[in-house]
Amino acid sequence: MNSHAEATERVRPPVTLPRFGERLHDERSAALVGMALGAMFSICLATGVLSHLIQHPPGWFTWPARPAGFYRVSQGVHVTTGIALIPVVLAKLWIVYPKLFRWPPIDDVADAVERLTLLPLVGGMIFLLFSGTANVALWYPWEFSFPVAHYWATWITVGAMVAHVSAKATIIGRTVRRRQATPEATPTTTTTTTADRRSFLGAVAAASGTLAVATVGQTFRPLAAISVLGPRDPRVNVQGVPVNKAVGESSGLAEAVASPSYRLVVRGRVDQELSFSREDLLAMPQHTARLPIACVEGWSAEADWTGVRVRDLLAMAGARAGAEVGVESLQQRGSFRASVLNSKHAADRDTLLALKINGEDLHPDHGFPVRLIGPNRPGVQQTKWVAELVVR
Amino acid sequence: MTGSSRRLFWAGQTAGVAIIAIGIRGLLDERLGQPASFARFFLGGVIAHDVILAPLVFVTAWLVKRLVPAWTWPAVRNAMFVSVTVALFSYPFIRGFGRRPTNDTVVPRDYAQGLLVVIGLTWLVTGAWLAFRRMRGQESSAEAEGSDESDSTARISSP
Repeated sequence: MNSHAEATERVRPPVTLPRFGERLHDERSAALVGMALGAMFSICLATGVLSHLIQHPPGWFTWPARPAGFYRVSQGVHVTTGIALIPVVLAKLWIVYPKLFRWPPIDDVADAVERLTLLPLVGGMIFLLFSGTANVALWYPWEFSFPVAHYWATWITVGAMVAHVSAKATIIGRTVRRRQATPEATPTTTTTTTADRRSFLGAVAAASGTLAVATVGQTFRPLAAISVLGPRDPRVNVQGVPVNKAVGESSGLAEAVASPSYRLVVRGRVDQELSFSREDLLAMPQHTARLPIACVEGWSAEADWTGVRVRDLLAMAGARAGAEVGVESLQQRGSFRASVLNSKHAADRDTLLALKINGEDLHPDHGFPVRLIGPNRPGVQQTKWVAELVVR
Repeated sequence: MTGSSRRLFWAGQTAGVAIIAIGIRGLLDERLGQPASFARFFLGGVIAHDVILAPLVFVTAWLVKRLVPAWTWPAVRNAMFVSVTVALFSYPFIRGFGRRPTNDTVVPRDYAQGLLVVIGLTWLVTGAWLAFRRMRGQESSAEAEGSDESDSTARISSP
C-alpha cells in the first residue's frame, strides 16, 4: 500500500482552490482544536448517555435518589458544554475547510475510507449541536423525535470520531509531543504562526467561555443576571420556578385539574386500593423538601415542596417493600405523561406527592392538584397532574 | 505508515463503521418519526456549513483583511469569530421560535439586546487591546527597542 500517513503528511503543491491566506490551516491547529473538541465532546457524551440511561433504564441500571442535586449538575454540564462546543466545532471546520478542495481528492483506499467517515463526523457534529440548541430553544422545525434522533446521531458521531482519531493518531501524537508541524519552515515564520495560532486559539476559548457564561445562569442562579443569552431565566417564573409544559398546552387538562371529582388512586400490586381527594391528602402528615426541578434542557430551579411522602401512601396501601411505582398523569397524551419511581426513588424520604410549592398551593402550571417531586430526577420524570400511582 | 499505525488505522475504521451502523440501526428501530426529515437535517447541516457559511466566512475575511491595517487583522479576525459564533447560537432565541402564548417562562429574555451586549463587549475589549498594542508599539519604537516582530524573532533564536 502506498503509505497513507506519508501521503497526508507530504507537503502538497498549492493546488487547493481558492488560495486560503491564513497560516492557521495546518495540522497542528487542527490537532489542538480537535483535542479540545474531543475532550468537550466526551463530557457531553458521558452526561448525555447518563441522562439517556436514567430515562430509559436497562435492567442492570438503577439510578440512585442521592445525591439529590446530581442530575441538576450533570445535565447543566451537558447543555452548557454542548453550547460551549459550538465555537470549537466551527473553528475546527474553519481550520480544515481548505482540505475540502485538495487535489487529487483521494490518494488510495485508506484515504478514501478516511475521507468518507468525515461525512458522518461533520454531519453528526453539526446535527447534535443544531438539534440540541433548537431543543433548548423549544424550537422543533423537524418531523422526528428529538430524543431518539439526538441519541442515535450521537453514536453515528462517536463511530465517525473513533475512525477519525485512529486515522489521525500519528498527527495527534506529534502534536502532543509538541514537535513543530512544518520542519522546513523558517524559525521566523514558525514563531509568527505560533503567535497567531495562540491568539486564534485564545479567541476560540474566549468564544466558548463567553457562550458558557452567557447561558449557564439558567441553572447556576448567581449568574442569572449576566447570562444574557440563557434559554431560561430562573427569575422569570411561576411561584419561583420556570415552567416547561403549561396546563394550557394539553386540551381538556385545565378542566380536568379543576374538577371537584379529582381523585388520586393508588392501585396495582397492593393489599388495598386507595383513593384520595386533594383535601384527604392535605389532612395527612405533610413533609417539606427543598429540591430542584432539573430539566433535561439544562435549566434548573429549587423550591420548597410540601406534600405527602410516596412511601407513606405505599405503606397505607400495603405495597411490598422495594416496590416500583408507575406515576400517571391526568394528561391523556404526550411522551412524558407518565414516569416510573424505581425502588430507591419510591422509598426516599423526600419523594413526595407535592400539594404546595414555596408555601402556596401549586399553580396548575406546576401540576395542581398533585405533582410528583423527588430527589435526583430529570424534570420530565417529575410527573405533574398526578392521577394514579400504579404499584409494580 | 508503520505496521502498528496501519493496524490502528484499520482497527479504528472497522470499530468506527460498526458504531456508526449501530447508530443508524438505532435510528431505524426506534420511533424516530420521519427518517427523511432526519436525513434532511443531518445532510443539510453539512451543506449549510460547506456551501453557505464557510464560503461567506472566507469571503468576508478576505474583504475585511484588505480593509483593516495588517497589524490589527488577528485581533479583528478573533473578534469576528467570537461575534459570529455567538450570533449563530442566538439566532433561534432572537427569533423566538419556541415562544408560546401559554408560557411566559420559555425563551423569556430580550436576546437581540443580549447579543448586542456580548458583541459590544467583544469589540470593546478588542479595541482596548489594539489601542494598548499601538501605544506600547509607539513607546518601544521611540525607545528604539524594536518592533513586536523582532521581539518574537529574538524569542525563538534564544530558546
